[in-house]
Amino acid sequence: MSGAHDQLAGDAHDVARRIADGTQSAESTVGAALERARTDPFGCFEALDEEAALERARELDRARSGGASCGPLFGVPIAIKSNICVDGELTTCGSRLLAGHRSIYDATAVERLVAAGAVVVGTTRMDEFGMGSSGENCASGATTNPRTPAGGAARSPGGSSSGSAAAVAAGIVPLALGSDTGGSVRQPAAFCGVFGHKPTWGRVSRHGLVAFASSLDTIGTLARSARDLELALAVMAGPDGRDSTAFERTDLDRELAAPDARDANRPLAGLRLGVFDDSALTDVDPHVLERFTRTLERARELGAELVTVDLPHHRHGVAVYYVLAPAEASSNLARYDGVRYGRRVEAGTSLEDMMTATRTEGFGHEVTRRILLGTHVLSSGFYEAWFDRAARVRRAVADDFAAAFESVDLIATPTAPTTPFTLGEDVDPLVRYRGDALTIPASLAGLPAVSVPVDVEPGRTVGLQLIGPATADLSVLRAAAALRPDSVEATRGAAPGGSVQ
Amino acid sequence: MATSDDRRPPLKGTPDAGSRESGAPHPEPSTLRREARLARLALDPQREASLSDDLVRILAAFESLQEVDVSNLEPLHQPLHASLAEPLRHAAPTDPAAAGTSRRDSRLAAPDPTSAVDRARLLEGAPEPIDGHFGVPRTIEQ
Repeated sequence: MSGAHDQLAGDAHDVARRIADGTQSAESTVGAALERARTDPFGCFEALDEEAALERARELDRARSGGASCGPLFGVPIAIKSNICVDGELTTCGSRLLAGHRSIYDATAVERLVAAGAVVVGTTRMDEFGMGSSGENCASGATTNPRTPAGGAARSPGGSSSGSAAAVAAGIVPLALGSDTGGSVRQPAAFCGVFGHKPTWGRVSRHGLVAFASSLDTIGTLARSARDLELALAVMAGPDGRDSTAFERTDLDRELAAPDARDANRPLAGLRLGVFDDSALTDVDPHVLERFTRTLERARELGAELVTVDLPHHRHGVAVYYVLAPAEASSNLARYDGVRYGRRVEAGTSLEDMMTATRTEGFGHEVTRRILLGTHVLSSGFYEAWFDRAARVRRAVADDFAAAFESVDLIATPTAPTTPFTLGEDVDPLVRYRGDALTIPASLAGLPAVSVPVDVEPGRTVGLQLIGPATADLSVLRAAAALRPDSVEATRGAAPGGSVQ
Repeated sequence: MATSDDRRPPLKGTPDAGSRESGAPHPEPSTLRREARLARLALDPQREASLSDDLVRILAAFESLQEVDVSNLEPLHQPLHASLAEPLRHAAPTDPAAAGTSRRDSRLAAPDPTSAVDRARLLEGAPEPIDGHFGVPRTIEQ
């Protein structure tokens, strides 16, 4: 085991504690993360900023020796998805169109993590503008799942927060930010065998998150323990004058301050856990279903009462999402016109020729498909049948959840219907869209959800999703901690091609 | 670039124009061509045909949306929980000095009108900055 591994052992809590008590320095910790990132065989990073990260770490070490108090993430190296602004860093959103684009300010979430002592080591690869669930729709290349079986074909890390999930699974950083519009934190968390939290919409400011579908977009966290997700939320949550949908945090602070009154042996005692009737999970892979069911049994042993719930409009989630999200994207992505950001393709003689050439060459295939789909469902003659209707069915999906939460506290589902698929498969886009069926509904309703790793065996990773009522982020995270109180181990993984590193 | 659209061969694999007896209207190739132009995307005929096929198939797969009775459902355009926009039930009286907007009693922050960006740095990221402005191809004849 190398020195670098020792520096990064455990979760963010462990790393921050060792730096705060002087066991290791921030500089050596960040140096260890950078060394791993430089030799990363999985392709997690879009860009590293080694000098800035090391300088920041040295500043923290100086502050500590000068007697400054240490924030809860003091010296902890973190990675940021490349659609979240970090001042001076590459923010490419995985797109050719934004190749070389650097942010000129920090996202509020990043600003708050840094204020708590975290050190950004780099930005991570992702499916272009968040559109994809395989990590393959990325201009700078696909990321590989670190939990690929030795000797097996490279597995997808999921997406769109592919690089962030893989970097956490590979032990390069203990904590990373992703974004989740329809499952883009939770599904890669499940595929890579780590924890992933999508907060209540409005819980974490979206200022500095590049917009994909604003009414669904959230910034979320990937980590190797549930307690790290709670810590990151405690740092990032709360109102922000630059995002008027970010709400205040009195409830969160009250819950964080309250003593944990749970019985250590039965921490889920009194919890009414909603589950679907088996017929609602017929599309789920047998291995996923087996691990899911086994974990529900564990929840019961820990005191939870399982209650069957019915969400009649849940099955329409994929259709609603793939009408509304492309519609919002077609509007949000109108800003990429070769005038203000990124790359311009000179063509023809007119402004319109230049804009058209820039967009046509700049956007990848999936993004083009979704812009066209979004433009279509908003067009005159089609708007009522698609966009307006989908927005109304979205209401029904949200109403179903509200009704279910009258009789249960949380709802459990598998996070994804399958284990990680092989990279490079040529599949119908509809197959991938249907893979989001279990994560989309919570996004449509703006609810908090977490993916808990319940199997981390390479090639067979499974996540269990817990969904809570609006604002109940802590209930969701604490139930996740009860189901899996320990940190998941990082993996040294199998390199692309299969040999164990 | 967009001017050659009308000379392109008809697309294969797309259904006939118009609405069917029930369900949503299906897009015609000419509709999609116009929409691509509106979205400032120029597609060669092969890509246009393939994307057109995709759209028709994707929308066909979503046809079940047309079966839902939506007559009593209001559209949901953003999921901020209703309670969050309302005044806090047990809130302490707001500091009048901090109160800037009609939202001061809700759980949402008052907007911060200050700019987050520096003009010079903003222009550094632009493809063609000219004298402190964004440069574009000429749009007015000399």
